[in-house]
Amino acid sequence: MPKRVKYRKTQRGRMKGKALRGATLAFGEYGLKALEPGWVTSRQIEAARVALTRSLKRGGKIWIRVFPDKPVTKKPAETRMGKGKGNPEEWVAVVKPGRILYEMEGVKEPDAREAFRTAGQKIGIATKFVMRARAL
Amino acid sequence: MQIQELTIKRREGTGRQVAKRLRRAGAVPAVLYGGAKSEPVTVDPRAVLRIIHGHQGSTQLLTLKVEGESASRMAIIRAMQFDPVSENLLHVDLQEVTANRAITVRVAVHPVGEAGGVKEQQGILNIVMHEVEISCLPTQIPERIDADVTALMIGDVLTVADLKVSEGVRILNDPGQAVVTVAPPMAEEAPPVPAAEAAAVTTEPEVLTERKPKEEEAAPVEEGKKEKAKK
Repeated sequence: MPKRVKYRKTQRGRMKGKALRGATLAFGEYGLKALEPGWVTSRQIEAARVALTRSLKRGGKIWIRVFPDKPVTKKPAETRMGKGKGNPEEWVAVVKPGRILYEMEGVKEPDAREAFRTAGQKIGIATKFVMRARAL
Repeated sequence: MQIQELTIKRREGTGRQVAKRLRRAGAVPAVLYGGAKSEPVTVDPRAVLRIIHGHQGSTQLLTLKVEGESASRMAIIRAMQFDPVSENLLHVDLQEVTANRAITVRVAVHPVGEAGGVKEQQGILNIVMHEVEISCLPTQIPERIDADVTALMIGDVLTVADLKVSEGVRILNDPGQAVVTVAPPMAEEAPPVPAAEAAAVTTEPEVLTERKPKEEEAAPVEEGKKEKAKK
């Protein structure tokens, strides 16, 4: 969640098309790529990060390539319609297909695959493992 | 260095619809420039992928053969576009080069050996710069630039100035730029904060455009009301 925002509430917006930016590995050797559009909540991002850190123990370095900067509002339960927009309840990152969510370096490929498989289960959208082309 | 061969085919139309039709037919639209004028061409995606397979980075010298013509030209793959989801090849930029004119290309950095900081101190080898920009003749493009990391301990940095390249190859990046570092191992995860405490700590971010209550304006109005009441 950001420290400062210009506006407290935002409109929902649309998620048309594929990711034009952030779709290639920039830092690490391995990555987790989103295959569908969706809102990834700050809780999901943190849960996946914890899963990655635990599966790697102390080896490897992780980069998080998405940031939850969009507030999502919700009306309280059993409230009649109207009376304005609800209060911000959670923060999400808008993810389009092709976006790299996490990157990793300093581990062997099978360990990275396993770590990203566990992390992918914490994210609410379909993901896949990607890796940098390597010299033979 | 072995020079690979690539066959290209001239194409008539340009634009999105033509490109889509070509891709449906199994070809990939490409453009060849660097000569007298740029020419729209098509290539076989499997042939391009075979050339770049196992070759870090895509820059290598190619012999281009135009289908139906006997003459061949020298070229490099300048850029490639891939679909972000399916990772299919979408477009290729080919640049025609001459053997006696230096060109600027990006070449992959390949760490050689095991860093001392990784072996003895359980550090993490962090490749900061995966590719460096070099200037050389097309015939001298190295397949990769080896970076000897064996002497690196935790906190040490291998810079561009430390890279060794063959004669005729000049690195264009700033010599002080970091290429490889050895980072300390990740810190142990702190015990999770109980949910109730976490909820108490979570606050809303500061809103920059939020209206603040105007105290100066509010005070005179109240005074005016009191005066009216007295009357």
